[in-house]
Amino acid sequence: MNGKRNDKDIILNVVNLKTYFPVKAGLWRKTLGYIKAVDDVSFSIRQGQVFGLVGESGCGKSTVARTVVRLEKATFGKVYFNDLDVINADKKDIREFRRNVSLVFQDPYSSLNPRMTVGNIIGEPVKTHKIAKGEELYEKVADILERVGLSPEYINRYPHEFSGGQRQRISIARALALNPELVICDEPVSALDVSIQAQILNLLKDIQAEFDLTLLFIAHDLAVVQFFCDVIAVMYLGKIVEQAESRVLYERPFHPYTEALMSAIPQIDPSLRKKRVVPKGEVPSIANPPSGCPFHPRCRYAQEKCSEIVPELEEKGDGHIVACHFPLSK
Amino acid sequence: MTDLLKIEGLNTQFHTEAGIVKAVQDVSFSVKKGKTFALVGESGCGKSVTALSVMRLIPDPPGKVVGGRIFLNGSNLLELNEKEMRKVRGNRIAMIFQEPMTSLNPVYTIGDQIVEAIRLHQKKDPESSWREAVEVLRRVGISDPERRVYEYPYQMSGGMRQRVMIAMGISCEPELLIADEPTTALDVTIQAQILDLLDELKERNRMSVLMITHNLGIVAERADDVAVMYASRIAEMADSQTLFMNPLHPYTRGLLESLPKLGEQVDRLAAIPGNVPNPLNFPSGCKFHPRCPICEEDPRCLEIEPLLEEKEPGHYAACWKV
Amino acid sequence: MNNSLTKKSDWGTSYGELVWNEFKKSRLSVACLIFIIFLFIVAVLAPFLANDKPYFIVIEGKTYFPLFRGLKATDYSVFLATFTAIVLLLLIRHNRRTLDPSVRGGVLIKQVGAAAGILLTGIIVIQVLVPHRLDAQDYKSMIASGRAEKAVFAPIPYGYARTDLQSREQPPSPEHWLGTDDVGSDVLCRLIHGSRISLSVGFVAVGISSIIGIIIGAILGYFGGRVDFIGMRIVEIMMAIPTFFLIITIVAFFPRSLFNIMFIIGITSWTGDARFIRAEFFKLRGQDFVLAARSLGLPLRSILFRHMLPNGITPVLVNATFGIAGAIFIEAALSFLGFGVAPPTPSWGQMLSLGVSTTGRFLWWLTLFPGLAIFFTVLSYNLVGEALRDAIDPRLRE
Repeated sequence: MNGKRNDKDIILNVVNLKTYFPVKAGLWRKTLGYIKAVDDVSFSIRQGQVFGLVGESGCGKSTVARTVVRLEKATFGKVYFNDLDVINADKKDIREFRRNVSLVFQDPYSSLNPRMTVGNIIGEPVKTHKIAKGEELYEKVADILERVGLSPEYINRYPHEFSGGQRQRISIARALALNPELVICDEPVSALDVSIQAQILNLLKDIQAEFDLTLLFIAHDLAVVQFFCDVIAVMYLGKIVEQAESRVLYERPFHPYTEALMSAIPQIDPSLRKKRVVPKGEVPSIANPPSGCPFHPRCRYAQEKCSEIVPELEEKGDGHIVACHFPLSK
Repeated sequence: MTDLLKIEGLNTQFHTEAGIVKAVQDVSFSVKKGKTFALVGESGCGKSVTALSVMRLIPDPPGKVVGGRIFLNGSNLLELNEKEMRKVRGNRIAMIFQEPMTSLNPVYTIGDQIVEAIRLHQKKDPESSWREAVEVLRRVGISDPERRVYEYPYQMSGGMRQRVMIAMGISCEPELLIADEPTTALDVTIQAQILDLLDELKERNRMSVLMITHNLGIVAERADDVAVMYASRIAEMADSQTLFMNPLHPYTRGLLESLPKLGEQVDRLAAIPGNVPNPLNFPSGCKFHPRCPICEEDPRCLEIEPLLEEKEPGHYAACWKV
Repeated sequence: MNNSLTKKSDWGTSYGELVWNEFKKSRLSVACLIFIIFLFIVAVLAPFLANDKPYFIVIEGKTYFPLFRGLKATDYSVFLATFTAIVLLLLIRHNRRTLDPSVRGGVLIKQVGAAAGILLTGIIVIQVLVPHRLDAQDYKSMIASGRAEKAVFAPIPYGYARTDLQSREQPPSPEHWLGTDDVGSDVLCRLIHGSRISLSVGFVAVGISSIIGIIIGAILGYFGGRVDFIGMRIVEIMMAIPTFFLIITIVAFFPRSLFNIMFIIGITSWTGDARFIRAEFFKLRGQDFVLAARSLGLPLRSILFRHMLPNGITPVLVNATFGIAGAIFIEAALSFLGFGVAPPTPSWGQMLSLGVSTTGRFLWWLTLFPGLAIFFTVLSYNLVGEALRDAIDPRLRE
């Protein structure tokens, strides 16, 4: 996966990214150890691709997103956006980078400043980056509002007057306001009702097609990710354990964790139900991860080797990558 | 099959400064002995208020059960006084909540809390209650319960806490367990474990379960009977297989179609347009008509609220167009 | 930007309007607010309400205006400040009716800036232009002796600095409604003029302490880590010192001027605000909208003051109302103990201290009336503060 930096198509390249949080205690805040929230993650996203990052809570998927946009400090590794070295970029380059990369957050209630009108929320970044002002700014904001399915009349309303789904539309409008190349969506639908979820997913899909956007889509719901993404990477305890095209991943998962994750999702249609292989036990604490393969204490196929040696990611053909000593084969 | 819980014409309202919120309107259903009944719907549809009404835990004021009857084994819970009701709660009906992080008291050990629940309803000495607490924890699949009883809630993960909540709930072997979104806050793999546990306990104790959830997948897999709620009313009700194979109400159909399904390749989801209506300002007539694909400006839909009718044997729907 | 880009009906309810609607529901707190406004009016108009100089006097066919002539630079400054504040309030009201909510913020900042500029230059000009006149004429005796034909006096025709040893320590009478003090000054007159001292002590001291508290709290809360650790220890050291004794100690070293007292109260009572703001910023720092603001590449200034501060300032606002009450109290206590403003400058606390006369008599009117004034003012601020907190709360519970 490394060394593809010269590939013209690749818009975001994450190489061996590690984000560790120190655990401090005591009067003098001594560092006792590290929580390896993101532990050696590498992936790359092509122009126009929708890349899904899926995993259970605490697996580090959101931290990946935040590190990529430098809201968290990377402990190690590189992030390349086009040709920009994001981790070491200076202030000016970061400004330019922020213009081209925007975020949509999970919680539609906390992600909008309650004291600002919709017009200000969407318009402020446009003004800051000196893209438009005055009448032109207003036109632009109204236009974006219309594109995300909201009436431009809402421009002078405050966030508390909107429902969750509408707020998420405002978040999306804000993310689109700068005409970004890459949009990172961190669980954009998980806080919404089922019927609203579908609206937002459709909207994101339409916008992606319309602007030829590149998306990094983070979610815990495999069904949503599978519907939405071209390529899916499955994370477990800070590591990517499997990555493949969405269709391939569903039909032929190699990693036992992927298999378990998919079988655990309750299905309405009995014909789509898979044989349930629920992993035993709890997700181990990320502050104290197991030795060897992180999944081995819960894995039904685990052997002695799994508890000793950390499996490396290996390519199994067609961009299907898996980190498992004994990948499933059907 | 006999009904354990029978609800007839339940109406619950909240008096707010902005007006009267009719949170539950004319809801009737029954939970059979040893079966799981699922109440499914989106946020604010009244499913949780229904559950709290059964427990008589509606905060009053502003809330009040203004009509209907709730029979548990033939006796009307709404006629009991508070003292009698306290004996019902925890003893015959137990309830577990969505947030396992906040529904346990952080300052007491797990053991203390379970023992308290046991001693409240069964006259037992402390020592045997403590032994029973260990036993109950073992039954809900917590390993090493002898040690775990001394732990505090913050030392446990979300899944573990939900197991503890279930342990407290079943410690007095209730006839009915109300589970209000029991797995919404949990990861999918843990969710499957908890649901398996609930199924197993239901079998063993011949307990009935009233499951409140928004997740249709869980309902399809775990429930025997289902009622779909929309805007304070039941929109459709049937046994689970019938409802999912042959949904009648356009809302049920819309919900089913709008879900992305694992393993199914589609370009777009069939989303239901519009927003969930505000309970202070419900649309006239059928509350679903502004979002309904089959209403087609039918004057009946626009003006008269349809009632739940038996459209097919055992299959009820509230819609003019079916 | 055009003033009416959208229809008025499309304008949302702003946070301020929500809080005001909630606040209005409590009758008692509205009454307290009205009382505070009344106090303000009294304080501003004090020289017109209580003055030993007449509005006008006719002497030998010529009309003089001694009261207006006798106004000091301070009075003019107070009038100018009040006028600017009223204009500003009217402008805000006007903005709310005619401007889109989206552009109000920017316009308001410009207006406040302009107002502050006008006020500052105005005060400087006043200080330079208005001469300090000493007018020791006894106009009342002029009327009595018939030297003047006609004069109209203020409702309370006594000066706060005027002494009258003939009528010292007199209980309330039709002549002196609230009695006189040890040097024969009218108590009501001094009470009216004293309201200026009490209110300005409250506002300026709290203004100083809030600004210090906000800046320190914002820095600690936003940056966290080591900065916060060291900062908090300093705050804790500050809190461990009994403020009142610190103030007494400091006052002993500095001249007894009103400004010194305001300043000292201000720089010793910011720890609460700093802790509030720090806690708020800690909480806000992790909120998605702050992360969103950072990820959009907004400058730090905008993040701190546009996005974070308005969301975290409510506890400081509430605290400020309590702080004003507290500052009035401290000033009264200092004056009572003799560390406050020097006579003849009137101050409620200082009047209170005269309640026991040098002859050992208990002059109840000197204790009761200033005491009541302090009591009602402090109570009103506290009740308004509490109502404000409750008005803000429902949304916090949401």
